[in-house]
Amino acid sequence: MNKLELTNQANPEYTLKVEHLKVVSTQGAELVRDVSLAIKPGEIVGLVGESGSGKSITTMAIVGILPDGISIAKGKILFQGQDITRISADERCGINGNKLGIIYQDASQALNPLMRIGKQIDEVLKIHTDLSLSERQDRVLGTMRAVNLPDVKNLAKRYPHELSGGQRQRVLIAMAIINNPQLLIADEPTTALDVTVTAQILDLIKIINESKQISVLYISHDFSTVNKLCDRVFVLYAGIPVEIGSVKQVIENPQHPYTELLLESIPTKEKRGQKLLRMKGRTQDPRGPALNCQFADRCPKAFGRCRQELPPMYQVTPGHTAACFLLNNKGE
Amino acid sequence: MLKYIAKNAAQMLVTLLLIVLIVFIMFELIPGNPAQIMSKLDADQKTIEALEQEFGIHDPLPVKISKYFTGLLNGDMGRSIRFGKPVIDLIRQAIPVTMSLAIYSFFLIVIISVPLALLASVKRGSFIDNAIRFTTETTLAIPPFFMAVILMLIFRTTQLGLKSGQGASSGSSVLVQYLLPALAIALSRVTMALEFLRDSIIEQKKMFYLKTAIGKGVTRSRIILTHVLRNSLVPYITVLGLIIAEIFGGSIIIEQVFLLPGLGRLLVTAVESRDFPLTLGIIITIAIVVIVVNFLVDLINQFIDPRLREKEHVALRTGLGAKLIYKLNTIRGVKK
Ligand SMILES: Nc1ncnc2c1ncn2[C@@H]1O[C@H](COP(=O)(O)OP(=O)(O)OP(=O)(O)O)[C@@H](O)[C@H]1O
Ligand SMILES: [Mg+2]
Repeated sequence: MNKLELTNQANPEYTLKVEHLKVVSTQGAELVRDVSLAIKPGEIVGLVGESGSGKSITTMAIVGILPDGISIAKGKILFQGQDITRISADERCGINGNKLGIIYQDASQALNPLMRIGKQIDEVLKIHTDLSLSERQDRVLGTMRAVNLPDVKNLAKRYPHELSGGQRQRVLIAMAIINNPQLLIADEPTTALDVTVTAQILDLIKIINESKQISVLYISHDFSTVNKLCDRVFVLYAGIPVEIGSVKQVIENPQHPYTELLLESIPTKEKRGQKLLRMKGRTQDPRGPALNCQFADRCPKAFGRCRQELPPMYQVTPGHTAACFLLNNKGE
Repeated sequence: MLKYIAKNAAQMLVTLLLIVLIVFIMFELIPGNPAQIMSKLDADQKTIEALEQEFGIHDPLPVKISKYFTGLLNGDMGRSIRFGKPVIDLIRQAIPVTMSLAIYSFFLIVIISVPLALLASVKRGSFIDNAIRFTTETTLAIPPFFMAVILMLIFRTTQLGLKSGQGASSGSSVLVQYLLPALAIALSRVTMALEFLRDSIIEQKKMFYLKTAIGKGVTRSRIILTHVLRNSLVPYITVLGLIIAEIFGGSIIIEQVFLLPGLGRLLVTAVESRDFPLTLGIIITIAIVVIVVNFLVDLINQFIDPRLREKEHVALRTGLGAKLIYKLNTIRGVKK
């Protein structure tokens, strides 16, 4: 075990590897139950699930910003081979903003309303580098240009409320990538934006990923954006991944009924004119321990066993797995 | 910016005019002839008439007011009935005393409240937080004059060489002379400032942008100082403005106890002797101070929070106002 970790550290195969992560609240609710996921260098991995499935809690655990009263109960988060679940505050400050960049859902809340844009971006460099003021200024403006912000000199002196939603999101991206991190985590970066701006932001993330070889963990509740952006996808339901595979495998051949439902609720050209299928029920909340398939109550294909046992991951094709007893029946 | 100041200056002038008007009308309603009071009962009719002439007692109200304002524009507030000197001179003598007291206690309040509020909010709910709240709420419950007496006793018995009760006439430096009165004032008002700052910090600590700061790798102490504290200042500065205005107009008792010849004592004398010009002069002075302080508070807050500069964000300000009133009421409630 130890030896394995040592070799991992020297040449990590994965930028990020989460192993059996379990996050609980002080009231005993299991917000994230058993999440394992891995991201290779340069890869864009999607994490999909409906509201409340635990996507943000997972990212918060990775970035070390879990709210008070919520903590990691089990599991490991290996970042470049190093377990970062129990590092000191100093070590955390050395990783965040430096090797690990994060973009949040709501850019209007994510920026300090009383600080100029340029200063907020510059703060990252101020903390992590020894660059001089003018070197930092150049890099701030350069990064702002790289994320397609207009009139950067002027914009740097503005305050967040003077920017559009798309511009604020770009500022957040600039802040996250200015130090060339190894991993970029984007937690629903486009929910607050309209369709055109969403497409632009997704393009930007793709460009950043390709030009700088930055791995990306992209969080969304929406398969259509995942389809455009990601290489592989993890489908999360009630704090447990229920289907994992390449985007192609999962979208063309979904195995878990929950994935099917998610896919059916995307509007596509072929389905235009049809009524959108609305998902019945909601993720249960708060949660006790998972003793059976969590989706069983809402699943149109559920049968007896689904309500008695927790399904393990079955392999569909190499690299494509799903946690559903239907696969077991197919195998027999 | 200049436009803003000009616009506000006009507004301030109107406010001032209204205040003068109200005070005038109030004095009209009070019975008694100031000329008679001034000239004592044994004065003959001629002296009284001469005085009545000087003070324009029989002029109609609009004439009185316009006369007064013409004087005011020339820096003339009339002659004090009680002292027989120009009002403006008396006020000029008193202002430095009250001003020093206000500024001194203001600094004491800031020095006490900022670190304690930081400590209390960072260690929220802990023993330290509760101890701070208990102590400050106790000092709030003690009336300022009683606080002054307690302080005098403490400092006398510990022989710190402070000459309390001797006012500005003693030879020691201003800093030492004013320590006790300023401390008495500061201790009785520090609670409000502290609670405002503490609550504001706690509120800011819940803000989502702090997660961004942590995501950037900003250290905890830097987050508190450069993000949280700065963003907590607007309500704090607003309440500091209220406090300083209140000290200016309301340190009457402290000035009496410590025998300081400030505006408060002058006002008491003026009212007691029905000295209309002096009373009016002092009230106008205090009103000007309050108006100017409010203006400065607005200016500073707009500097700190750029959103306040914009018309669309007026809601932010009114929201702050409502919060302020609510908070003041709860604190007053505690006091009862
Ligand atoms: N601060 C918190 N305190 C307590 N419970 C929380 C907190 N934040 C989230 N939760 C709970 O954790 C669970 C997972 O929430 P999470 O925010 O990770 O969902 P999500 O998948 O990101 O959803 P969304 O798409 O709405 O962002 C939910 O049941 C939610 O109620
Ligand atoms: Mg979320």
